[in-house]
Parts: sequence; C-alpha cells; structure tokens
Amino acid sequence: MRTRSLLLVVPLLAGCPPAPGGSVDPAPLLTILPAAPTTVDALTVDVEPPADASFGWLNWDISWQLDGAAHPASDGSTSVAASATARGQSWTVTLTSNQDGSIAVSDAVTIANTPPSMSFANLDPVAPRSDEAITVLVGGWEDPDGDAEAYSFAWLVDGQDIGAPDAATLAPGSYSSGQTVSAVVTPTDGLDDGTPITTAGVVIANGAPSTPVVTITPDDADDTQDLLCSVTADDPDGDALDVVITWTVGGAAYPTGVPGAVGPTTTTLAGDTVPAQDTAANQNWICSAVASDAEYASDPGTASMYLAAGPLSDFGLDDVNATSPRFGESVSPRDYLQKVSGWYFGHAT
Amino acid sequence: MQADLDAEFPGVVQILGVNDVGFEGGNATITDGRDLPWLQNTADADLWNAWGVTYRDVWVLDGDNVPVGIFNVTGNNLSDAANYETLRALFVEAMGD
Repeated sequence: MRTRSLLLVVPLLAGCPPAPGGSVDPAPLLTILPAAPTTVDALTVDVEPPADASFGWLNWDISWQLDGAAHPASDGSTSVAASATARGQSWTVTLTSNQDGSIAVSDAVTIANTPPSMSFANLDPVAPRSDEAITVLVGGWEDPDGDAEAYSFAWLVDGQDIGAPDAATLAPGSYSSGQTVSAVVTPTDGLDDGTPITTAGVVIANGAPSTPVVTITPDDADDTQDLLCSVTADDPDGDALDVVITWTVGGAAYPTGVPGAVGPTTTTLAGDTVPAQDTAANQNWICSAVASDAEYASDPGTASMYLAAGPLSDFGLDDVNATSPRFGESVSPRDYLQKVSGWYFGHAT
Repeated sequence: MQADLDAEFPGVVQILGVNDVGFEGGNATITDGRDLPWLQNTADADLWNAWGVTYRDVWVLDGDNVPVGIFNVTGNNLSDAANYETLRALFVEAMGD
C-alpha cells in the first residue's frame, strides 16, 4: 500500500526572504521508488525537476522520517536499504532548499507485507493404493517478514478440485484405482498468499476392501433362534467382492470344532446362518467376515452374540494391580452382584 | 470411562480387566498409572474358554451377573465417540436390568 503526500511550502507565504543574491531553485517533484515497497525493496528517491529547470543536489537537503519521527541515520542519503525497513513502517522523505531553508517537497510510502514462498511440494506415497491416505510433503518456506510457516491445500482428482478439507493429508474414499491425484499447495502468512505449487500427480493403484461391518441377528437371541450373520463390505475401487464368513463358538471353530454340529446354512451369503439346533444357552457366538477383491483381502470384521440364559459361571482371580484398591485379593463376578460390572479381556504387553 | 460413569452413577459400575495366560510379563506396564483391578487369568480358571471370550472383549454384566452385552474394542476403538457411546450405553442398559 502506498500513501503519498506532496508538500510545497512556499517561502513567501511564511514571509521568508529569497536567498541572498538571487531566486531559489523551483521545487522538484519528489517520489519514493518503488511505489509499493515491501521489506525486500530498498527505498530510492527519484527527483524530477520542474519543467524548464535544472536540478542540483547542492541546493537541497534530504531528510527521512520513520513513522513520523526523524531518522538521522538516513538523512542526506537518496536511498534506504531494504534491511532497514519492516512491514507496516511509514517512511517519509523531505527535500528542503538550503538556499532559504523553506521550500520543501516530500513523499511517503508504507512498507507492505511480502508474501511467503516455498520451493517444493511432493505427494507421499508416490504409488498409493486406493485404501491409503496421501500426504503432501512441503518445504523451502521463505518469508522475509519472518511470519510463521503455513500452507493451504486443495486436492485434485483427475484435475478437478474435489472440495476436500484444507489439510496436508487426504484420506482414502475420494479416489479409486486408475485416477490421478494431485494437490495445490499455497504458502500463506495470514495476510497474503504466495505462489502456489501444484504437485506432480500420483496414479492410484488398486486397494483393499474396507473392513466389513458385521451384525448378528436377531438382537438378544436365545438358543431357540437361528443366528444370521449379515455383512456390509465396500471396495474403494468398486470391485466385486467375495465375502467369506466364519463362525466360532466359545473359542472353537464352528462347525469343525463342535462335535455333533449340523453346520451352517445359507440365507444370503454362504454359511451365514447358524441353525438353532447347534446353539445352547450361555454360548458366545462370533461371526467373522473377510471381503476380497481379485488382489487383496480386507481385515476381518466381527460381531458377537451371547445367548443369555442365566448368570455366568463364577471364578476367582487375583488382582495384580499394585495401585488397585483390591490389590492382592481374589476377585470374582459375585463380588459385584447388585452392581454393574464390565470385564475387559486383554493381553498385557 | 470408569470416571465418566462414576460421575453420573456413583458407585454403580465397576470396570475390571483380565489378562490372558502367557502375558503376565506385561502386567506392570499395563497397570502403571491405573487403579482399576487387573486380574490375572490362570490355566486352572481358563476363563477365556469358560466364558467363550474373544481377545479385547468387554463383557457387561448386570446386577445378577447376567451378560447384557459384549463389545469388542478391536475395530471399535473407544477414541471414536460413537464407539465410546455404544459401550457406555451398555453399562447404562445394565443398570436397568
């Protein structure tokens, strides 16, 4: 931004006499260049003599003001080094006739913000699958004003801005196999944006299906009802999926680990139904499903169903947490009758 | 979650952990900074098979020690607000049984 004032103080208005021995030089036109400086620009005084007149520095004194205060270090100089300036400062230069000390012209500029810059932006990984996130790696930040490093991000799929959140990482779900993803990264200091860089595009490879969402119905089943395992699975590339269902009961594979079992039947997917005759009260059934395309298999999705019939078998195990109120005691579910208890079964690693 | 439930239902819910046989070496680490009971399963109790437990199950029992629900936190990370609320709702449901 530039502000300029041109001040002409004519000596006769102030009642000052002309210089002894003759007339004073007419005032020149005074300009600070560049017109809209930033912190990378030196300030230089440009003087344009009036028409039909010559200009000689010997007859003029030059002085500078910084934010309205005298700046003696720069007085007498026709320039101010860029290193001496900072964003937001107002610099004024004034030219005064040393013939009578009263004719002056001045110009002023305000030091504007310098936009930041960056030197590179690349995508990682360079060969992502459709189920992998993609991240922009950026670097080479420079800001002469010393502003904090910051960027904005736009994501393109096949050259089209997909309106993804302004973030350095793009989560899977908005691209699929064969598409090209790139990003436009713009350095910003909060005031101005620098020149954006568009990354090289990466071509998306086939990805694994998502972990299936698995449910067992009916809710609150008992041992008189068939158990149906339902599976929802998606593939980021829209590939056809093969879903394999497996069942366990009480930790044993079903039906191979369950003597006398009839085995599962099929309602929608192969083996998705456990007939009631293979179930019993107090059993915990788990349905696990894996979805596969031609190349990859998903992580297994699971659901469990406890066939309630009555209280669980009791046990007593020692509390080994030295900071627990029950440390060293034998703890059992019956200790929590009339209360609600939650039992987490894990591995201490 | 224990603190969360205690804040709304003081003294009603107790959460406990049970470590599988063979993982005793990690007990000191997993209990560091925690005061919930941490029980050590034994070959004699064989709780995994006795109850038909799956690794990382949370079994919620009502006041009669009848399971109200089983929530497996593998693939249902409790840092996800929806998963957290699902499990919390099981505890609340168990209070009414």
